[in-house]
Amino acid sequence: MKVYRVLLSPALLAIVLAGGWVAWWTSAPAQAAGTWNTISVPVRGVVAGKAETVRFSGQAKVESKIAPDPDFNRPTLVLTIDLSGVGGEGAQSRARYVISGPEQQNRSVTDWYLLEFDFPFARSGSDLPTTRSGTATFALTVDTTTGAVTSASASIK
Amino acid sequence: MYLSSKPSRMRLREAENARRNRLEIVKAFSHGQVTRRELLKWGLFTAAGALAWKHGLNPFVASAHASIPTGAPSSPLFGVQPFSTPMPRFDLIPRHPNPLVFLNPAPTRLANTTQHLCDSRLPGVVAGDTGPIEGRPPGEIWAHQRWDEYLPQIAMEVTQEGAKTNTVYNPGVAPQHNSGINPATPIPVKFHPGFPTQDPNSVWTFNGTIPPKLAISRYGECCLMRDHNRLPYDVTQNNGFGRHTLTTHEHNGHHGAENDGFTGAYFYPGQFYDYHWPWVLAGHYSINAAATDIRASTPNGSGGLIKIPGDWHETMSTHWFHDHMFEHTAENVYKGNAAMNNIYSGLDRGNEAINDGVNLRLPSGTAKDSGNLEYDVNLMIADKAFDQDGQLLFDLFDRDGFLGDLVTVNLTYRPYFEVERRKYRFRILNASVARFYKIMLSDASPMIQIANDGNLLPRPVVLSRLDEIGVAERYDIVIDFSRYSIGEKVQMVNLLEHKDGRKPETSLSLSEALSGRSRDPGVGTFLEFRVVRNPAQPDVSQVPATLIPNPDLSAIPVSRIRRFKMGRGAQQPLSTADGSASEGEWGTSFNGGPMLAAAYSRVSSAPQYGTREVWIVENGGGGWDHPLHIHFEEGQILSRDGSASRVPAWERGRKDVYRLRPGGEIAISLQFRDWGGMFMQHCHNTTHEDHAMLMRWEINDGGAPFLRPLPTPIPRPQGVIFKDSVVLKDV
Repeated sequence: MKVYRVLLSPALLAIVLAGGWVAWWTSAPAQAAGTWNTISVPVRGVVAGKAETVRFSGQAKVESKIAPDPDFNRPTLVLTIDLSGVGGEGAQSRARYVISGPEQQNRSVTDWYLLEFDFPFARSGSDLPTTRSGTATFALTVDTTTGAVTSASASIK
Repeated sequence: MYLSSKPSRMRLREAENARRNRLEIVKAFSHGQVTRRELLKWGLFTAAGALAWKHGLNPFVASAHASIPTGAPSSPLFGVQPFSTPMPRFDLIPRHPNPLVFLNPAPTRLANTTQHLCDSRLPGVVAGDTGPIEGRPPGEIWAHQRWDEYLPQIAMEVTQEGAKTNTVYNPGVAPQHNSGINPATPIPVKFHPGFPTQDPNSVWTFNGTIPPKLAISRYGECCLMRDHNRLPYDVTQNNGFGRHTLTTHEHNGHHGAENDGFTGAYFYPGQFYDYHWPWVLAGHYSINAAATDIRASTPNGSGGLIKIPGDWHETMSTHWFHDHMFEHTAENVYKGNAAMNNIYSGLDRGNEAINDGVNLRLPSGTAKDSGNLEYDVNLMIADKAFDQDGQLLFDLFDRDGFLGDLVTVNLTYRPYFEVERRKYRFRILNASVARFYKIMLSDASPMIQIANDGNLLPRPVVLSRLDEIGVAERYDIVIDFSRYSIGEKVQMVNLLEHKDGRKPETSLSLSEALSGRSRDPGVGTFLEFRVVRNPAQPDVSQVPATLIPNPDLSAIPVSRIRRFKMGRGAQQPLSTADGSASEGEWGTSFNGGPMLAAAYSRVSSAPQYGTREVWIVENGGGGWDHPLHIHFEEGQILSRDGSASRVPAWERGRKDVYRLRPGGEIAISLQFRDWGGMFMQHCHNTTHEDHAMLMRWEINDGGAPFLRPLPTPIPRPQGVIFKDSVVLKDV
């Protein structure tokens, strides 16, 4: 076996000790799984585009939880943002528009997030190919212990 | 782990040396010259399974800077620009009628134990040793179940061998539906025409060639897939990674266990294995057994239908098959052992024009009775990495999950694909080792998801961005290019950023992903669609509001609820001497028991034949995600974190890969019927799988051929031997 540089160093003992510490750490009982928190966030905005401009308003449901990480202590914030409670109205036709599909995201835990994602919407009752896309932006302040969203603002464009 | 994207020359040299040092160890490890235990003893692995934090060995140690995420310098691009080469369509596997005559020797119900001379380069072989020509374990337990009832009608014969030029490419479509590629032009194994040709031992694929292979299957048309192992006899001839023994899993066939690619039923170079894929609907002995329901049907070749037994709600569509070698699946699949399989039926016929009240008329084409591919396109997405010579590179030391820095589609680096102004179906497979993707179009146009894994959804779902697609998951989508003008281009974009192979780190916005600022080179555009013309014929394809409703479970009692937890810190009480048990740190615990590393000789669950169970599976950590794959029959996700409402619309069909999400828990309904034998469940982050996050379960019927516990096969070139299995309490 060729070696391109010296592999073994005098730090072998330290590595073994470190390995033992990691083994002890990982054998510790798992932290309890996080519980979901739910908050409603008012959303407003306008999506311009072909056919007609659509004005949206309503309540987004934001669910969040902390998933603890007993292995490396790098917990994750698990988020679901459901815009199905936000409806749209066509500026010219006055027709109703609906949004489909929750947005699911996982993030490293911090106390503040700015999330931007695209969502599909369509005229209520229309067939699938007429669907268009809008962009939602959420600013969330999060309790880093529980994962609960403590304040939020949101917009659509 | 992210390091500087602009390292100095000196630091690059250090990283390259670190890579070479690791490669030497990887070689020794993959050749069986050193064991994991010895590496641990030498301090090169930590007890937690990570590469020791050593300068000159671990690229992330200060002063030994490499580019992320491969742990090596960035893959060289040799001046290649993105979207400068067409994406090849898959290469069809030839189908031959009458396998009993076509194949030589003829396939047999019991494994063919005709002896041949073993090559003395095989491990444990001395000159003059003989062994069976077929690697399938001998005897009744591994005999093809219901052979006389399902005699094979179609033969497919493939090899697994080192890279070589393809001179018989058959995409199944004319060049105008394959971005102008002339199939008569020989295709060397290159991941881009501007990249170097791969060494025969760098890439191992079906038939040794690219593009990847596509099987065409039909319900009711029993197939015999003969797989020849033509990999090197010498286990060291692997360019540093890849194991020369194979077992092929049809993902996720409702077949007998002898055809499932059980991880311990592997075969050696010089041998073949006959896989018997009958293509029957689940429930074919208990539901619609008299074949009276026209929705349970298959194309008859002339525009009509042939009724078949079984539950039409269990019809499947998009499969793939790949190696499942114990402890070496990641290496072998990454090296090229992956193919796809389109399964056609009365419902999903592959003909968009036939209007018989059954055919869903999804985008496909019209020329043939079924299986038209003009507008039905397979996409295999996989991240790869290359050394400075342009040869495929893999790092066995990355125990979180290996990530490549170049995203390929159909084994081509960032290609383009020409489309007409009409609807297309794309069957997307994530064939990576550890990377997840979140796919969006660069103009944010909607896509319609019609299937998840092998199964059409109950209803189509319109999405601007697809959900995360974990390793081995398949999402079938429809894109309508009629919204574009001729000459327009639109790209597929990956929004999902990884820091390492444990799980995706962040879902970026479209503008962030397109900005080029992500330090993960897997983020951004990876496939360009070029709208080149109007269709010659009107687009008569449809996306119906109802596709395939779920099977009705309300009248089927739940015979048992089991709980599993997937996590780290596993123990291995069994001996690893015969290779049937792993010392990896990942594992599965059953009903609150200890976290156990994989041993394919251990039976961890034994559901009763003919029953339904609910399996609750928990991810033991929030720092990881695990795409859990349960073999055999498709399941339904009943809840996530205890709530049915947390199951999104695109997961409300049937599935075979279940992303647990960080710290998540899912409840899955599963049925155990029609066939018997030993199966598996495992994490399909194949790094996790290879490091012991796998468990065996088997169907218990109390009588032959479904004995419990089934003896465990231990393959050798001279013939499979069997040993007693270990059975956990309360299985």
